[in-house]
Amino acid sequence: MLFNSIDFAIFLPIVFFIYWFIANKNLKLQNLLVVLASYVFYGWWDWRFLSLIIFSTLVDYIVGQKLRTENNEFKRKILLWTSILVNLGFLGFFKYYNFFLDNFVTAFSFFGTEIQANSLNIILPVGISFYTFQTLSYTIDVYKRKLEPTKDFLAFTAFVSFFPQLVAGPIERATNLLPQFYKKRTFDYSRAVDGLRQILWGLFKKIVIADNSAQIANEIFNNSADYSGSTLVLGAIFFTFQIYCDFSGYSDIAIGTSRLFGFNLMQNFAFPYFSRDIAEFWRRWHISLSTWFRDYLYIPIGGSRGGTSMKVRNTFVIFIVSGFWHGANWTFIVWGALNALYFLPLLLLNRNRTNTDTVAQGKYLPNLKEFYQIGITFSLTVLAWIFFRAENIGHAFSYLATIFSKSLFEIPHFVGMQTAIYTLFLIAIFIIIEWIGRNEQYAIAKLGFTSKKSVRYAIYYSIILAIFLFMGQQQQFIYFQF
Amino acid sequence: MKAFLKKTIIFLLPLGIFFMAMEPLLRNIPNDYNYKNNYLKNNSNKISKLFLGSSHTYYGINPDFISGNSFNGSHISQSINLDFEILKKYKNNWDELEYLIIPIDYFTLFSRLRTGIEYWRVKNYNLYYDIQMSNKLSENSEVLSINVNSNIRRIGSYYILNKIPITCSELGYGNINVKSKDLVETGKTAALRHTTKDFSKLNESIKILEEILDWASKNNTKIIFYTTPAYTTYVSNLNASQLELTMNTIKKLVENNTNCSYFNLFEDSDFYASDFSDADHLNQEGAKKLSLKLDELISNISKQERTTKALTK
Repeated sequence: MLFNSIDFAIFLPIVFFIYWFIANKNLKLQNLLVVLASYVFYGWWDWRFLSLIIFSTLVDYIVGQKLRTENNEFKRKILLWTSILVNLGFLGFFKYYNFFLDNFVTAFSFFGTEIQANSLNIILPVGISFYTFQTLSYTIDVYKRKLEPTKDFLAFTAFVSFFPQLVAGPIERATNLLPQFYKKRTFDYSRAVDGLRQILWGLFKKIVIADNSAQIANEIFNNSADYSGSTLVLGAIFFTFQIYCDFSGYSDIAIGTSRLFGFNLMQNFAFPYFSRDIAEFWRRWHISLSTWFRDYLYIPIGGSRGGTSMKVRNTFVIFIVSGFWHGANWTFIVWGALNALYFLPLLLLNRNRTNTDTVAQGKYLPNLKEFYQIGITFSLTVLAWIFFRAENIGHAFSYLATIFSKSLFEIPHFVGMQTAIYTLFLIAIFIIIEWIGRNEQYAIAKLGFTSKKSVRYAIYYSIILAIFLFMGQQQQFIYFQF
Repeated sequence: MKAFLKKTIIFLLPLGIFFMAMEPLLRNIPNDYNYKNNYLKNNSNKISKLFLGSSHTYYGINPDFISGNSFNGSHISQSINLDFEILKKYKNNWDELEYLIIPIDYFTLFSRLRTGIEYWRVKNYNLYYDIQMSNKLSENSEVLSINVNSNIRRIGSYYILNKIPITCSELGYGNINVKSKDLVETGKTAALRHTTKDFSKLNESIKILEEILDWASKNNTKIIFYTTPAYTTYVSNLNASQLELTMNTIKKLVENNTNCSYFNLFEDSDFYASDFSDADHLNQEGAKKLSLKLDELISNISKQERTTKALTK
C-alpha cells in the first residue's frame, strides 16, 4: 500500500479508529491489531512475500530465546550466524543473485571461459532490505547482551512488521522500538496533531517536489544523449531533490503515522543539503542506515582505530557496502566509493567532526564561508547522485562527459521546460521553508507551538492546496526498490 | 481523543465538501466515452463496420470515408481487452455487423490501459461505459483519478466558457486538428514508450483475440486485422524482436482462422511525412488515405467472398 494512495487514506483512519476506540483497553489486542494491519499493509503489494517476513520473525524470535539461556560462546556464535545467514540469505537471493551470476559469467568470459548460466526472473520483495536489517539488529544486540531477548512473541512480531516503517524505514533499533510495544500507549493530543502535521509535510515533499522533479529527471536521464551539458546538470539537480524529498517524505509520513499510534521513531533526515562537509551530510542523510552500518559493521571491523591504512580500508568498506545495500548494480558501488573518497580527507585530517551543530545557528542566513561550504558539499553530492541514478556505469560516464563539455555553457532546453520552471519555483519555496525549520525534527514542526491558530490553519490549507494543484504524476517511492 | 477527532473532521470537512461537489459536476460534462457509449446503445444494431483500437485508430480512421454504416469505437490507449469488453457489452445488438476491424500494432499484444501512462482513463470505462474494470475507488471517480488543477479547468471550461470537450466526430473519429510535432523526436519517444521487456500479456492477448474470432464466427462477422501506418522515425527505433513477435503471432492467428484477414500497412509506401501529425499518428489527410485504403481492401474481400459463394453454388 502506498502512503500517497487512496487505499492508505481509507486504511489509516480505519486502523486508527479500531486502535484507539476498540483495542485501547488491552495492550495485547493493540499489538495484535498492529500485526494484522501491518500484514494487510504489506500484503497489499504481494501477499506471497508475507511468508518471508513471518519466517524471519520466527527465526529471530527463536534465536533470541535460545540466546537467553545459552552461555557457551561457540554455540551463541552459531545461533547468531544462523540468524545472519537466514536473513542475509533471503536478501542475497532476492536482491543479488542475478548480479553475482551475471558478473561471474562476465568475469569467466573475460578469461576465455564461456559459462552457460541463466539469470532468474526474481521479483524483489518490497522493503526486504529494511526489515532484514531491523530484525538483524535485534539478534546482534541480544547476542552482544545489550538487549534482553523478548518473551512477548506478539510484541516482537509487531516490532518486525510495524507498518509505518516496514517497507522503507526508518530502520529502527530493537532497543528503541521494541520496548514501546511492552508499554500501554495512551492517546496524546499534541503528539497526534504533530503526527498529522509531519504526514502533511511528508506528502508535500513527495507529491509536489519529488514527483514533479521525477518527471524532469526521468526525461533528462532517459534521453541524456540528446541533451546539452547544462541540461544534464539540471537533470542531476532535479534528481537530487527528487531522491531527498521522495525518501525523507516517506520517513516523515512513517514517523507521523507512528506518532498517531503513540510510537516514537528515530529521525531519519536532518536537512542534509544544508551540510557544510560530507561528514556532516552523512550524519544527516538516512541516519537510521548510517548508524546501523556504523554500529554493526564499521565499529566491529575496527572503526577509526588503528593506522591510516585501517582507517582507509574501513571507510571504503562501509561506504561500498552501503552503496551495494541500495541495489545490485555497479553504479551503487561506485556511488559508495565516491562518497568514501569525499569522506576520506576529512577523516585523515581529523576534521570529520568539525560541523556537528546546525548551520548558522541563531542567524537568519549563513555567512559567506558557510554558504560556500554548503555549495561545495551540495555540488559533490549532486555529482555522486549521477552514478546513483544512471542505468549503468557507461551511462554515468557519458552523462558526466557531456556535462564537462562545451555544451555546459548552452542554454538548457528539454521536453517539459514548463514543468521544470514551476518545479524550480516550488523547490525554491521548499528550500526557504526547510531553512527556517532546520533546527526542528522536520521543517514545519515549529508551527505547532509558535503560531496563531488562524495562521496555522492558513498554512495547512496552503500546503494542501499546493499538493492538489501541483501534484506530479504519481511515482512509486524510490526506496521501495531497495 | 474526541477533541482530536472533532477538530480533524472540522478541518477536513471543507475539503470533503469541495471534492464531493466536484464529482457530480465532472461526471455531468459530456465526453467521448459517454458519447460513444450512447451512440452504440442506440445504433449498434445498424453498424456494419466497427473499428476498435487505440489512438492510432482514433486519429486514423474517419468513417466518413468508409462505405456503409461504420463507426469508430476506439479511444486513446484503448487496449485489446477493452476492445473486447465493448464488443461484449453490445453482444446481442450487432445484428448488421459484417466487419470488425482491429489494429494489431507494435504494442497491442503487450500493453494494457491500466499499466500504461494513460492509466487514469480506466475510470472512463467504469463510469461511462458501465464496464466494471475494477472496484478501486480511484478508478471509479473523476475527482480521484485526475488532479484537481485539471478538474477545475474542466469545470470552468464547460460550465463557464460553455466548451464541450467531445473531441470526436459524430461517427467517432478524433477529428481535432492536432498540431504537427517533430517526427524525429516523437519517433524516438513513442518507440521508447511502446517498447516493453515484459511479454507476460502476450498469451492473454492471444486468448482475447481467439475469443473475439470465436464470437465473430458465431455472429457471422469477418475480422480484419491491420497494422497502422507509421513514419520511418518510429519504425527505425523499434525493438526488432517485439515487432517480429507481433507479426508472427498475427500471421499464425490468421493462418489458423478462416474468418479473418490481415493487412500490414506499417511501412506502406503511400504514406508520407505530410500524412502524419507525429511519428505514429496520422493527421486528417493521412486518416482519409487510410480510411479509403481500408475501405477498398474490405470491398475487395467482400467481392471475393461473393465470387467464391457464386462459384460454389
